[in-house]
Amino acid sequence: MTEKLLQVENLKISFDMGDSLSEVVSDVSFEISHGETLGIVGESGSGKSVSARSIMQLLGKNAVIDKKSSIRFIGEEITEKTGKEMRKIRGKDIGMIFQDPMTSLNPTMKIGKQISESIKIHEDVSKKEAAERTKEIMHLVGIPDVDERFEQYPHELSGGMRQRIVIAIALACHPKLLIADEPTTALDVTIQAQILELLKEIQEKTGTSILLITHDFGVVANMCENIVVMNQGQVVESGSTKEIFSNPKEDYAKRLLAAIPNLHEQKTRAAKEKLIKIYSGTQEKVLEVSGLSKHFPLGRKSTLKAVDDISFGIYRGETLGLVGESGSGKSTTGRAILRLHEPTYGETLFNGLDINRFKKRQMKNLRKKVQFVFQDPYSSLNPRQKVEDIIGEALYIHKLAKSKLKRKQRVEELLDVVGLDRSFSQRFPHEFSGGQRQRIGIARALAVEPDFIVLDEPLSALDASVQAQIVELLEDLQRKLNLTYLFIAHDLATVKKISDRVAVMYKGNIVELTDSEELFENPIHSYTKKLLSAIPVPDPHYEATGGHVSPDEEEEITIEGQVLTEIRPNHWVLQ
Amino acid sequence: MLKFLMKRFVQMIPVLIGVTILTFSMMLLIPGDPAQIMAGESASPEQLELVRERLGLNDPIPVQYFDYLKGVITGDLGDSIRSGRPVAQEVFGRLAPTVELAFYSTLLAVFIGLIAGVISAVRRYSITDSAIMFGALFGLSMPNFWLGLMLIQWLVIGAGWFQASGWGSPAQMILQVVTLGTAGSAIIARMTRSSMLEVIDMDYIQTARAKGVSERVVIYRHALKNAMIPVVTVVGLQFGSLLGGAVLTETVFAINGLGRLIINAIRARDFPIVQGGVLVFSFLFVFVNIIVDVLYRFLNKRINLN
Repeated sequence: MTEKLLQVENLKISFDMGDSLSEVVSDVSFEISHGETLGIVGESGSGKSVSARSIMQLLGKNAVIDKKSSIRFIGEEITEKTGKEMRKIRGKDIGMIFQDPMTSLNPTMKIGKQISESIKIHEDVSKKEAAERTKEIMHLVGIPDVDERFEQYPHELSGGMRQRIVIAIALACHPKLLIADEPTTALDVTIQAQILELLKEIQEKTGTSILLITHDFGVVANMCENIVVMNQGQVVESGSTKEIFSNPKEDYAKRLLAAIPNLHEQKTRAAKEKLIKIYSGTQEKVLEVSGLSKHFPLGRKSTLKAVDDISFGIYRGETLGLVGESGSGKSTTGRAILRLHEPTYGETLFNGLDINRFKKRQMKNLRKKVQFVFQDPYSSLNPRQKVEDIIGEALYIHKLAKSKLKRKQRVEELLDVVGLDRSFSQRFPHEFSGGQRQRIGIARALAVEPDFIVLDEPLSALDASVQAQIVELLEDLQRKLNLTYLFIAHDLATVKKISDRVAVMYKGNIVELTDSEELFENPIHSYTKKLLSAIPVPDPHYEATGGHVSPDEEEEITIEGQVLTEIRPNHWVLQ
Repeated sequence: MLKFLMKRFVQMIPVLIGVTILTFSMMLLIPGDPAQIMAGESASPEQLELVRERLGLNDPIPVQYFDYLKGVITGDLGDSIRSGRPVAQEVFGRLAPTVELAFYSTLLAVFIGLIAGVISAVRRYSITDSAIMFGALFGLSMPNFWLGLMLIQWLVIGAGWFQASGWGSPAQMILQVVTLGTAGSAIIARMTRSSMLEVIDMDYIQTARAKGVSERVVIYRHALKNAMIPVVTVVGLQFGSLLGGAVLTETVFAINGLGRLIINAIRARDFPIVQGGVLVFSFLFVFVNIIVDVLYRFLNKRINLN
């Protein structure tokens, strides 16, 4: 039997909380062969990152690894190594890639230096040789204009480029093992596809093994031969990717797989009927946006056209999905509609009246009809307010509750509606999980009984299984209260599930607008195609048969001077 | 870089004009008649009128201001009432010790503050950390004139190691610099500690560790450089209070600096000197903060110099 590159056995890690030990990883075992890619999949709090960091011995001082645990790397016991010995392994034999490229590079150090630092530590090379090696590696990870980039600082590069730099740092000394901790979670889907492709290429060229930690089954299916599924610090299932996808044994893995939105799912009959009503013109428009623009001044001369002359309508009771990558203007659109950002030009008709001409009093009345749910459930709730005050504040502002008792009752009703316990009203936001907080955010929006809610990426900070629950809640509320949603997201799969129609945004314009099934089955605009092809499909067979075509990154899509045209019935494309 | 400096200097002009307006108004706001003060208590009405005429006190206020501004630009700040010598000569003659005192105190404060802050942050919640933070609180709460008096009591009168008056030799400078720099060290130490703690939790510090960089290099090359950015701003503002502190320190240690000159001038109601001294102090403060601005932009690569 050939020796494995890495063998982790009975790994048990606890954190010293001062007076007690809290166990976060218990009895975890897995192994990686030379040249293999192993995926560790789990939701937040499953202990997957802690396990990975323990291989590098990069846990905080308060982490305690149990004495019976064993981490063998090329036959050597990592847990017994001193700090000095570990430093020789870190960066040389094991490289690590972190999640967020925006924060994982030192902002005050030149890029070239950040990469060559690693080479200089581990190898006896001259400054010139180190610089040459650095440039080779930058070339390997697909960075154009290497000489120029070498002298730049991280803030001068885009997110995708920065992640390539992070990978270059990890690869600098040709490590035998690459630990990638959620390497694409913070990236747009088209960039994610490029980075995953790059990791595969590198593995082919250098033969390094990869330990890929992720919450995304699509990424795993795309990348890994074998996977380990973790939950609450334990391995719940492990085996070949194909085996687990086709025949998950444990409930937890089944649930996780079931929570993945299926792109090929057919619409329900009710949803189809709703669409027919919208297209036949019998459904009234709640909101009609025409020529809406939001420009931000950049210095004295140039302006950023975040939203550039867009028009669309939203019908009563429908969910319009607004999809785009970061910088596409989707969030700005959501805010400009509610005048959270004052639009530069354009009309926003709400029930037939242009709200952009509303005076202060009219706006206050409008706030009762339209509401907003924010992306980050952690920063969108005031940490010093009790849940009762967070949800009930609007009741007070709009004089919707006559007495304190009435207000309390109404808050409790709202907690019921969003599926939270009534006793939560006396607690503070920090006591809740992300999913619970997002429910509180929804209850806050519902308090004034609005007609229309803008949901700005309400799911992107949540785990997949929690996402599914929130989607269910939103759909349920829509049916019961006849709500209309504008659902903003970067994740096409979720948008497909919840939306009746979808608008795709690119560089401040809507490039395609049609019902979600049509959009996924018959995308016409080249940007929509690019977006769709970039989604990792959670199906190892599909990936194995080479079904995946990774998007060409150089391709520049021009939209200058084009207009949204109806090319097929109810299918609008910018051309 | 040059363009940035030019821009900063141009932006400075309104600030400096504001300073001259304030120092000019000082003359108007002090109780009593400046002419009376200059001519003395026993002056006759005719003499008073003569002084007023000579000083231009009968002109409308805007005219007086522009005369004053013209003087400031040409370096003519009027004459001292007591000595009769030009104010500019008096003030600039006393400038050197004050600037030296403030400069050395800043150096000391930055040196001690940074080291103490870094150690405190790296050993968070340890006894060392507690000791340093206790020391910092103590240094911050201690009024510097009191600290100066105590140091004189122990180390000059008691041990006889240093001199308590004058300025120039090391024995005449060390206690003085310590007296003035202590509060600054304390503030910088606290600031550095909290800034370091923030930076140390950043992902790029983990990236550096994952490269196999030694802990010392992680702290000094990766963390401290980033943690310095907010600290630099504090150092600039701190310089202002050092100038204020110099007034007290110079009095306690009998240093013939600008601070002491101003104090004595206030006692003697020698207002042109006070006016000139305050003007020079303000100009110094503005200049130091421009230097700090440049340094800040040099450290913080995310700010474009143009």
